[in-house]
Amino acid sequence: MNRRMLVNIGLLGLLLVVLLALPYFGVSNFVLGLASTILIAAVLASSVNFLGGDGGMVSLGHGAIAAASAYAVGWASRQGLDSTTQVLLALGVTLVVSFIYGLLSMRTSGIYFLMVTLAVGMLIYGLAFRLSSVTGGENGISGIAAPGDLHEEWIYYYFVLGIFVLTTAALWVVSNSPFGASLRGLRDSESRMRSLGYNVAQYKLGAFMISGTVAGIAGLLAVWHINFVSPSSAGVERSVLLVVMVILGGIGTLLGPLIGASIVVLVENVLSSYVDRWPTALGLIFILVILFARAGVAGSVPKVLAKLRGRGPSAAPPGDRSSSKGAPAPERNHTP
Amino acid sequence: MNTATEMAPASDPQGSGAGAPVLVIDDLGKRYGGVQAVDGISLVLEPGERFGVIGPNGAGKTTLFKMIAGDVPPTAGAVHLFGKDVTTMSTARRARMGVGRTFQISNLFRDMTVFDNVRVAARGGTSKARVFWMPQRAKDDVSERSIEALESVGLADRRNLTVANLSHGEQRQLEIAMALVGEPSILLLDEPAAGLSAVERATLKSLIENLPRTLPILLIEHDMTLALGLTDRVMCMENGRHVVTGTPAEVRDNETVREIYLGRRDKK
Ligand SMILES: Nc1ncnc2c1ncn2[C@@H]1O[C@H](COP(=O)(O)OP(=O)(O)O)[C@@H](O)[C@H]1O
Ligand SMILES: [Mg+2]
Repeated sequence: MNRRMLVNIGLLGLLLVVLLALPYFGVSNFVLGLASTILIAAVLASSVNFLGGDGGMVSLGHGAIAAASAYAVGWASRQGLDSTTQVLLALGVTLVVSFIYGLLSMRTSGIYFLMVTLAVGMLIYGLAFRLSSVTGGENGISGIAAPGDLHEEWIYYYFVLGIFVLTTAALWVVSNSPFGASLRGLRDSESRMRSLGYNVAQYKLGAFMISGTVAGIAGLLAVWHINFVSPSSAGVERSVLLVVMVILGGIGTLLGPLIGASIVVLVENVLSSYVDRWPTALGLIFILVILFARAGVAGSVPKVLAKLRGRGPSAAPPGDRSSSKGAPAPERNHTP
Repeated sequence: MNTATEMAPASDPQGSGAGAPVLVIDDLGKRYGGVQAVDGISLVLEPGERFGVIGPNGAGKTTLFKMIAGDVPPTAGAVHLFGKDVTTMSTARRARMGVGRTFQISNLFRDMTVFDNVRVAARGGTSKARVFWMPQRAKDDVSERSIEALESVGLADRRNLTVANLSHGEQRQLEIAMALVGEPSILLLDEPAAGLSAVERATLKSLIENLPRTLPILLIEHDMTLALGLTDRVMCMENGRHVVTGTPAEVRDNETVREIYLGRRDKK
């Protein structure tokens, strides 16, 4: 148990060193930009992962939350407001939008939750088109510059990496807190939680606010990176891709969002220059993962390794009374 | 009662005086479409009393239980807990008033460890459950009380297993630990022995017997022997209606109860 923890920490440290050293490998600005895109997608995916993995609430609305935050930055930038105001406005809009999402969805679960988040997302998409005096309509808003030196690709990369580490760490802390345990309780049995005195809707709203805030941060990072926002960033396809990332990477795992975001962004940006049918390629990868590695990459690799070493969880039969220890249960599938 | 827990609910929050009934059910009824699942049931549970409800399958026991816990709104009558009318009160608020309960079909957090199941139960209805910046597995009073509850049902050495790895009997024990850890002022047990082997049944029986005598218990049980051995007073139901209420001996010797349980062969 302790050795496994050490291995995990070691792997995490190694990953961080590689990510920190990336600009020193002499890579091009294109590659650095791609790395930033992956990290931003990973922040957004981690917000979906938190809500889905701990809370059991799979959202199809998080792309639209990020877009709302990006629009707030775009609008503020077009008004000539400074970056601090842009950030504050983005946070304010994110909190309001997340609160609306939360209020509308907190009494639902499962597929109904998904439908409500989908509907609110489509509403935001529609507003992005219609409110053209604020959003620029179909054309969106362009020329949204990152403040100060952040427009330098390598500096922006470090900025994004820092925020990625912070949000991932924050979500990890929340996930391992009493609140996180309460969410997993809701995921497993709402009726039991009610009978224990939990105000179920309140917890769902709280979880949505936390998750939505992280999504809004990702929206801000994205709009400063590509300097542009349009209704398509609020489109349902973006939100669907987020869920695909989370499932590919391994729902409820710490590094699943980063792994899933890497796969999707690389397929979308690299493979697409060789094959036109990159969505088909992504679809195939997705189906393969669902068929052969339901727990996603981060969820399945440790299981396979354990099986190879011949001491997987199946080594101890469930409910075996003859031995006092069975399969040790990790707090979460927090395996890198 | 453990004074270290500030959230332990007072058994008499209304201050209506010591010795007041814990639970009063008044002419309670529930109709599902054309089925009258519960029909005009009344009962009074005194402090420290262990009360059993028996009856064949479909008698309406679970429906009655759910109306007391707050899962299902009655179509007639009223429920009073600790001197307060709770007929329209939510399950969660009743739980915060001090209702601890188990489910007839184990209702546990399947993907969590046994220990975490009890921890989540221990924090139920308190602000501790909302803390999002501290590790939930800290060695705090929640963990301490959770261990105590697990020890009291004999599951302490199984605490690091996930629920899916527990036997059926152990899952029933965990149900009880989760109901007890919140230090309830009344304990509602819905067929705690359902599906247990004879050995597991005996374990469970002694577990319930050894609960504090001050804790009022409402036990719903299909198995007459178990119910009669554990309670001070028993009510028998059939087809949603009250048949008889009395001491275990009185109910055992009751002609109608014998007919119900032994298949009406004495009927003349
Ligand atoms: N949700 C429901 N909808 C319709 N009928 C129900 C429902 N729950 C219970 N019943 C009916 O009410 C009667 C009593 O059921 P129940 O309370 O489960 O009995 P018991 O627990 O004594 O076996 C049965 O006839 C059952 O079919
Ligand atoms: Mg029943």
